[in-house]
Amino acid sequence: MFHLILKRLLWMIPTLFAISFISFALIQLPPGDYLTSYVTALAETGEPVAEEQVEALRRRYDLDRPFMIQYLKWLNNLLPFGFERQDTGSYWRTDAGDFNWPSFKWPDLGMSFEWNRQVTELIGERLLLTMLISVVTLLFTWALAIPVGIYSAVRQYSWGDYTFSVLGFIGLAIPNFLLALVFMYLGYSFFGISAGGLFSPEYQDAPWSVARFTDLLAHLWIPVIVIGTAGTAGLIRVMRGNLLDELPKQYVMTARAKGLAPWKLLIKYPVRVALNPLISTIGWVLPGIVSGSVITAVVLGLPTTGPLLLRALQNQDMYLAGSMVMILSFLTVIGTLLSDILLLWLDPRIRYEGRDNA
Amino acid sequence: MPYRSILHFLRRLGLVALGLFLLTEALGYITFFLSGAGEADLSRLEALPAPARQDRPPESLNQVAEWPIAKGRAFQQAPMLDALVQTGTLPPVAERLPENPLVIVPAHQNGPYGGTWTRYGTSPSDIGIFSHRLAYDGLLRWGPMGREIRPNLATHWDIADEGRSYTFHLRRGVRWSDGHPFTADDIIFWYEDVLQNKDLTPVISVEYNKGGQLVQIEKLDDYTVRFRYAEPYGLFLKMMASNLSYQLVSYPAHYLKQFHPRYVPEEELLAKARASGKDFWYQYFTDRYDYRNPTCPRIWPWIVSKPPPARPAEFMRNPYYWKVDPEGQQLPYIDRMTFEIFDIETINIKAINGEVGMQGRHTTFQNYPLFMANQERGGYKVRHWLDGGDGTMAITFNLNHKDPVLKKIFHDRRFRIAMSHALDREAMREAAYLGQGEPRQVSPPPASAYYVPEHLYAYLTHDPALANRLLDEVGLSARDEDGHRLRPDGQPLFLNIETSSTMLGAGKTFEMIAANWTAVGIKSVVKHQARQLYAQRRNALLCDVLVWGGAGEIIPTLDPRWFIPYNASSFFGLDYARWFRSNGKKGEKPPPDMLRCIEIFRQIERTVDEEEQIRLFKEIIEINRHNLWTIGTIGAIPQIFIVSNKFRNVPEVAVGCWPLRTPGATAPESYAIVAN
Repeated sequence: MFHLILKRLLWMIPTLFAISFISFALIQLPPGDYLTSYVTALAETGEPVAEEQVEALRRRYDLDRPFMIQYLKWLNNLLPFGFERQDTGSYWRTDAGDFNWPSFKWPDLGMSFEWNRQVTELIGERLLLTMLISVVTLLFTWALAIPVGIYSAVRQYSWGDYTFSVLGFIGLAIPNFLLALVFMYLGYSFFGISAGGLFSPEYQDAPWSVARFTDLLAHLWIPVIVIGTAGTAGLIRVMRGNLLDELPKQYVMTARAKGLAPWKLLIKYPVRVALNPLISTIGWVLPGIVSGSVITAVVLGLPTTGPLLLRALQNQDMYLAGSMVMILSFLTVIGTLLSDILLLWLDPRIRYEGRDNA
Repeated sequence: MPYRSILHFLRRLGLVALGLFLLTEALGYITFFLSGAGEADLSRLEALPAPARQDRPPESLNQVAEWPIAKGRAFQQAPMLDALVQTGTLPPVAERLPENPLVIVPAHQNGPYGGTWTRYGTSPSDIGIFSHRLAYDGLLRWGPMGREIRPNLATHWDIADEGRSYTFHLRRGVRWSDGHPFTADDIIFWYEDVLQNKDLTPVISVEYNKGGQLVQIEKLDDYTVRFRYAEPYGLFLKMMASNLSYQLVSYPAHYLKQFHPRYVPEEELLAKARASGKDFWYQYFTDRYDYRNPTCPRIWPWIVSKPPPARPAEFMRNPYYWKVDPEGQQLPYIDRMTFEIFDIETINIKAINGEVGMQGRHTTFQNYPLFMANQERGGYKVRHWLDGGDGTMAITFNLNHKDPVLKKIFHDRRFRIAMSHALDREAMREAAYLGQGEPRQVSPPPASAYYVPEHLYAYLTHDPALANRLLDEVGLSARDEDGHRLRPDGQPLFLNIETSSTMLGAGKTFEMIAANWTAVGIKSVVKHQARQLYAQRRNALLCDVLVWGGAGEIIPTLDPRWFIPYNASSFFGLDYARWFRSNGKKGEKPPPDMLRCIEIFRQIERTVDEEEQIRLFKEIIEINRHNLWTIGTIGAIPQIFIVSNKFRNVPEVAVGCWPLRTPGATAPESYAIVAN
């Protein structure tokens, strides 16, 4: 077990390096750069930018360097171990002129062009709310999907099963952003909830208080339901299908024949096995918590990290986009490892390494 | 039994399908009724007054005046500043205001003070509308209809030497938002240390370079500056009123000198720059000057107090703002302005819900019926402003096309006229513009002093027979078996109509243009592209047909992009524009008629007399009428502004366009919000 984890941790290093290069290259791949999109966006609102100004901006953002230089600079700043930039601006030479040996330092995620802010600052303030929404949504999804999935499997082809299936398919079929728009309209028409965002205008920048928290809860249900419905529907189907596979198996029949209480039997054996797919996808939940449900968050105007990433990618705001992609990749790699460990623990049938078979 | 199981499966399938159908139908009906979309019938739209063609009576627009010295200095200030004055943090209002504050006579009423102007944007850079349009304070300013130039920071000005020399007399005693006096020294700082600094201004824009020489700016005394050009520059005042002077009065020397290497050792600056994550001193300098820096003093009505990414970004009143109303109340009336970022659809829902203060940006015309239907419920009014850029859609052929055969076809004037006659503009008007507007070419609208009806309404009839005849004359009479015309070299003639995917507002129109052209045998296809890709293909001269919106045709001399190959937005001749801007060093030399237009425009640039400018520009328009380098579709589409019923002093009608910095020219500092 320990060997496995160590080996996986070591493999993460080359994986992340490869991801960093590919993602940085992909962000740079579309034609133009941040300035092209900035200038054309302004032109669309009827605010032409003179070519002379574009030159000044390109200089300001240091966008006239070759790709590899930009990449290496970014990578060096990103790593906790590397060349510390000197006051003269050089990475290789110290102020005294000697060779500047690489050392441990704080990772620096770089600047966002569009926000004119440090990336850490931008992500930091959005992270808490993003995680709150994601965790609440996840709990909502599980709390709804697992019992409903069990019910649908045990009472297969009952009216209840049909009802949940129909609702589930609708939830799956309606695009999230559409549901978000409908809810926003209904929320304002019937409850007077200001459309979009997580707070009413008066609580927007107020300090935390009971009233502000209540206000947050009044807004939170919309994103939770909107993001949750699609996930719930999918999960119900997975849960139902898995359980249906387990229920006719012989061990269930045996346990039943021996007189184990039906409820106890159900929870203790088939349900536990049916949960495996949920656990193995936990690895995707972790980055999901950070990136959020992007389109829904954009429509609802949530102050989360998803819209930040989307916008950065659209605009080729490359340090912001690159750093966020790196964070997400890091979390995916960690999450996959976590879910593998959880699976090993949950299901004794799974073996690692394969040499035990010999 | 397989038969039974199939039956069973079918029954289940049927049940699920029925359930799904019923539920989606129900959901659809519920949302339809709740959204009020059913109420927005078009008969109500047609009852609307047509957008005004003429200047409105002056009482509904703001006016400017000078403060009568005889009236004394009994000025009043916003209640939120009282406490600050009492504690001594702020000097009394009479000491903060200049000797002769500029008086803005509001459009409707004086005051009241207070309130928050809530605005929404779609991106962080969109908040830049604050510095582009809401903080519209230069030496001069346009009136709200774009007809006259008004004093602002300059009280008056003299023109001498046939338009080579301009002397501006600055308002005495204007102060930056930190209380420091604003003087000619600030303008000189900008001139010497910003404009002429190679790091801050790598390329000096053409407006400051006339006759091959940089403009000379001298300080005559603390409140007088003189601009001297090597040759007469007749458009200078207009440029100053539009945007030029904004730059030169936005650099507070007393604050920014500490970030400039001429005044502070460069190593010291570099250390500071690095500490804030910048690599070079000029990045740090620009960052300090940026409107998002709350510590940099300004002369604007509001100043950023919580810069983005704060949600909402917040701007608060400038206690040293140098304008008053006729009763001597210091402007602005509105205390605070907030910006929040949402998706464009969300912003439209917010507008319908009545959550918008006063905003014209992002309120898309496609939602016009919804805006109209929800006015009462949402507590707002829809204002129809005249669009100063009249060409809602400008269609151009790439006259610099790399393909010599296509280039030759595009250069035939009969071809362009045929393509204009092939368009069914009435159908476009009905389908895409809800029956609003009228067919027009891209030309100054009737509200403009440069209006030439012969061009605005030229070649607009939908006449496929005429189009077909003209196309045959051009030499495109050969057709393939599908009826599509062939090029003179026997290849099929095929046109890509290219545009940016973000111009979807007019999506239906594109398809109609392609269908109309295909109907006269010119096979055309619409290609929506990401805006970066579009920009690159355009600049590489790879596009066939380019479509874009109009500019500020109401004052066409400021940006004549659709009349002469003027800049990178003159899509009909981008390589000719390069030739024009580089004085013949780069790009392709334009054909004779275009050269003639450029010549006349250069003459306008040297002409001070407005009447003569108009007469000359009408000559350019006449050459354009003959050549039709740009094809228009529908014009006179009003600009939609959503104005909360609590807002006062927002004019019923004004002109909306970039040269007037809309809504800047309607004096947002005189807008007011009533409690109920």
